[in-house]
Amino acid sequence: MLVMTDIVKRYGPTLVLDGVGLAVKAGEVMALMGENGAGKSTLVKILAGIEPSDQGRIEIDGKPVAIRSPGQARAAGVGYVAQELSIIDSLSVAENVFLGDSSIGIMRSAAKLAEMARPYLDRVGLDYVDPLALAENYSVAERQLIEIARLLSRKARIAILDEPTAALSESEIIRVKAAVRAIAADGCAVIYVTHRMPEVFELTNRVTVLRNGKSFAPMETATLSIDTLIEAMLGRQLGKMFPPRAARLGAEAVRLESCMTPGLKAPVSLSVRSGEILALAGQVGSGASTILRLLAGVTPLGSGAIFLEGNAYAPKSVADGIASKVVYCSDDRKRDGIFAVRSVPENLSAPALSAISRFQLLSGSLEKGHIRSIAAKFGLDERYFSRLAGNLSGGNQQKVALGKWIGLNPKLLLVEEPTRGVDVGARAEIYKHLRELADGGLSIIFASSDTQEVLGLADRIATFFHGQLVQVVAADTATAESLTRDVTRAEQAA
Amino acid sequence: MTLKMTLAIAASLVAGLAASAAYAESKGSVVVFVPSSTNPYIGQFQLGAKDKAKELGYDVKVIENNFNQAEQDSQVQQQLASGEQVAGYVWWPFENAAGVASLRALSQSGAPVIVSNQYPIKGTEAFWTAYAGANDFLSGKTAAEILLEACAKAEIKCDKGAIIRFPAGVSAGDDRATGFQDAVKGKLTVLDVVPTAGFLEDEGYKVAAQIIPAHKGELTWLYTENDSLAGAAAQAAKENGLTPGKDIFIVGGTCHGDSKHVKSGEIAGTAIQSGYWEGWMAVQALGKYVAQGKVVDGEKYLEGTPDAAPSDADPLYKYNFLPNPAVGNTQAAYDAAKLWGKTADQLCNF
Amino acid sequence: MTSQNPTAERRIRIPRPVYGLAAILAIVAVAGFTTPSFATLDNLFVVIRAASLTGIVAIGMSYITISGNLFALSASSLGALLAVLFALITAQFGFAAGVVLTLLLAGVSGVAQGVAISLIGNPIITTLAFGTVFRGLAALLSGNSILRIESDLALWIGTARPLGIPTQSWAFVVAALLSWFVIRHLKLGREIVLCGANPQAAIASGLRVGMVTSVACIALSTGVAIMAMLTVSQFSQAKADLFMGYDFDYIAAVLVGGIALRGGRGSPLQAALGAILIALLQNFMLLNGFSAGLRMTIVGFLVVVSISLFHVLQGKSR
Repeated sequence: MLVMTDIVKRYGPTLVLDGVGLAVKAGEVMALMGENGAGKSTLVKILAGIEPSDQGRIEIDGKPVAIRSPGQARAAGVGYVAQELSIIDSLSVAENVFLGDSSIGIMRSAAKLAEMARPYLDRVGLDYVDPLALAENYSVAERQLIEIARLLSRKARIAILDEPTAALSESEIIRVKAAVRAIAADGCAVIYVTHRMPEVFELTNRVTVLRNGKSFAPMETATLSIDTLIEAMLGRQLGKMFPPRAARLGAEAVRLESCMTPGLKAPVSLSVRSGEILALAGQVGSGASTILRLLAGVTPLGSGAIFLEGNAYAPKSVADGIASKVVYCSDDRKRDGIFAVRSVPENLSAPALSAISRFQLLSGSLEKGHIRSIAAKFGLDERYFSRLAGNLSGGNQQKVALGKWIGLNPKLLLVEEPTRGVDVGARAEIYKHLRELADGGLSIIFASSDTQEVLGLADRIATFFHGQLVQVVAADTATAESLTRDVTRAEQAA
Repeated sequence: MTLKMTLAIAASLVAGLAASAAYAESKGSVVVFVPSSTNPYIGQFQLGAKDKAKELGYDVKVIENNFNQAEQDSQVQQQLASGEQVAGYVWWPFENAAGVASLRALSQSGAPVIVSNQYPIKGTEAFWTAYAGANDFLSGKTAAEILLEACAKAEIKCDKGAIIRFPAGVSAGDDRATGFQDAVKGKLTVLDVVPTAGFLEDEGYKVAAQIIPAHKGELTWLYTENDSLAGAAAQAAKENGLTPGKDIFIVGGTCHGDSKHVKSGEIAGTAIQSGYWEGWMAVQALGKYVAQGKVVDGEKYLEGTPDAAPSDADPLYKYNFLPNPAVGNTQAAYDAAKLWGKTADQLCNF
Repeated sequence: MTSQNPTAERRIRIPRPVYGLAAILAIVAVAGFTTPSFATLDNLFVVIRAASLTGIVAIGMSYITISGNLFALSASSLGALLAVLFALITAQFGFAAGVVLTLLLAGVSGVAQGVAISLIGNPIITTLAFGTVFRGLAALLSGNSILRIESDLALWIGTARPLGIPTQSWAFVVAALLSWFVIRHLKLGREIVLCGANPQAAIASGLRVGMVTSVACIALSTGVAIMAMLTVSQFSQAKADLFMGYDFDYIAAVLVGGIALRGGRGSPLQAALGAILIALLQNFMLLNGFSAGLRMTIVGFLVVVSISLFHVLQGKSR
């Protein structure tokens, strides 16, 4: 149905796409995979008319089409759901469904519009949504589905979904997957850009891998394993994604005794030993991330007690936590993890300004030593030191966000979604460095919605559901199935 | 004892009631629309208006706007909407032309309207009872006369010069510049007319400090429209190696602010333009109209007598102008200068 | 997954103040050819003097912008209040007491505004309200009259020209260099920049965002105090309506200097260059007899152009 051939795109002297091809059949879900910077986004943006290609052909149904603008793309039957959602909070759901559709007159009544939106919303599993309600009332997952409904309303025959599940939890992902299956079943050709392995295997028919601006022949998903796919993306043997677990653990580093705080429904008791990596697994709202925020000093302790190396610990602010060498990386890197408009060194030294100053005066040599030692511990190339943090790839940004804490020699590192928006290669590196730090005596607690990550990185796993701690298990005894069962147990019980 | 006390209380109550009755029987209130009294001249204007109103037995309500015609327009609407019966209005518009609609609205209320400070725009005569206030043409003319007199006595050649004027759009600035230029026509050459962005020393200095070096060796005089700007210009001249009063003649023409430069002779002289008397005569004009019930066509320059203020019994003309008596640039001349019973010091150093 | 623009890495990094300097040279060149009295050394000193007082406040304002608090709209009113206070104190207790107490009061007003901004969260509205209070207090304290001071020392400070250069210009240069040093080399300066770059990340990194806002307000208040004291000293008098309508000038200097509105970028030196750039343009227009309205239009236009230009440059380097 869609055939793109010999697509070339340059940014200045750099070749981003070097003769890339992509062919998708009707009713098929094609995964588009590759590391950050491989050219995935550029390729789909060219197809969506957002960026012009320098060279190449696009054919739809065997006929060449010219796509130089989003309008032309839409006319050719191409629909695009970008990573950054284009849902307008202050408009109704129905208005969002028909946003930008010039065939809908502005005089159309709200009720009429709602009636028109109904079938599209039903098709993507939003049958319970009120088309007249404001979009701001709905979750990220629901908005993602509204975007897909918009594609349907435009009669898109080729649907591009650019990392639709990056910000979603497992159970929300299930809904998006259902919607994708539904539109493929209707005969739509779906191009699905993602980093998440499980989705690739559950959802897609074929995989096209991009690497260094070149494309490789599509592979049948059924013939692939995770390892072969990762190796195809990296172009080399990956070895293993996850480093070996801790050989031996130290003394108890932090202990929670019957802790209660807003967001929890039952007291939580937990302990972590020095050198141990504990995973908190659970859906959004399960309480897993609440434990991290409690320990970080973001959320106050309601009742119960926390002990840090045997001493009572009750941080009232993030600064308190930092003073006790407990540090925290939230899941929203752009929001509070990095200073996007400042250089990498300034980011790395931000929490340690006192350490790099003499008498209130910044010392260039102290700062240089500080950031060099972080860069060495976290595999951050010094080439990046002259760049702004915001200009780095997701993986390097995450290294900066995590690495800035390492300079403080923390006792406890709290991380929410350690590799969200990070490509496979960098992911493996981050796992390796986190394990190295743990082996050096650091305790790490992380919360993640990525089952692979929870199973692969942690020593022990604490599962949460509905504000309660379900159980703590050794990671080597858990499986993807048991984990999924634990974090969704009440849904099954109900 | 108790009886005595009761009586005393009763007496004081009666007295109090009588007093408030007398208050209630005042001749009504005069509503004065002016820009903000953060400008000291306007502060003086209010003072004069209040003093004269008290003397005539009126209450005064002053409505200030923050140098904003839209605000003043809305104040007029609110005042009219209140339905209050007033003895009359004093109207000092912030932007003369933009305020005409409000002026008309005031006139339609039936109460007399005295325009002050801003010379009325031609064609609006039906909207106001009389003008009572400064005459900026006269101010410019007086400044020109002071300058020409200084030039006549000067040892240097006195020909080319420049005007530093108020910001564009300020009608007093237009009128003073016109009055000045008319008076010096054929006698002095105007090289440049440069507007400032304000009325005070800092702005005057900023402009003069740039104009003087740019016309080095040419400028023999500067007219600055007020003494604040003139004082600052004198300072800029000194910094450029020119001695005011010897190498260059500077005149502001309205005493405004610091009299130091006049007394020291750095400024060629000044004229009393009194905010106090302007406010005073605006209310006097209203009083005259209420008492006499008529307006004589034509203009009247009130006499600039040193001691006696003009009588309330004089007729009211359509245009009544505040006199601008010139003051010499010596300590003695300054000390001797008086207008209507107040000294230059009282009238200028507010 | 944002695909990066690899050219960013190869781009030769041009420090932002260089753009300002280039613009200044361009104006000097054009104006020098068309207006003979313009391109003289004397006139350059005149222009720097004209830029000084606005520049000192703009330097303070750049702290507000860099710290991520956009602008303060209270600077001109605070200037009037501090001028009145300085005149009152100097008249009563002498020049030295006037300087010390005025700086102290400026600091107090800075802390008050900083705390209020932290609580209310909107610097524009907060400082707008403070500005009204300041102007009102200035009017009340001055009794709407002209306050005179008789201090030879003050007059000397206000009118002296050490080495042939006015004290105001000296103060401007010193303020620019000192502010640059603070932002660039002090721990506090780095904290200001980081808080402006991303307040959320700053809080998460344990930095003191509230304190930084107050420091930025104090920096501005100090600049305002210096402007107020130099002005009062020069003319030996103060009034409540001083500096009326100057707020735009300060902000324009910051914007023309190319300091990013969103905070966390730029240097006080850029604000200083912005002030000089505007003064150059003003001087050129003044010498050519442009009307005040036209001058205002052109400066406003310059602000629009420079904001757009810097926006484009910023987008390109991303």
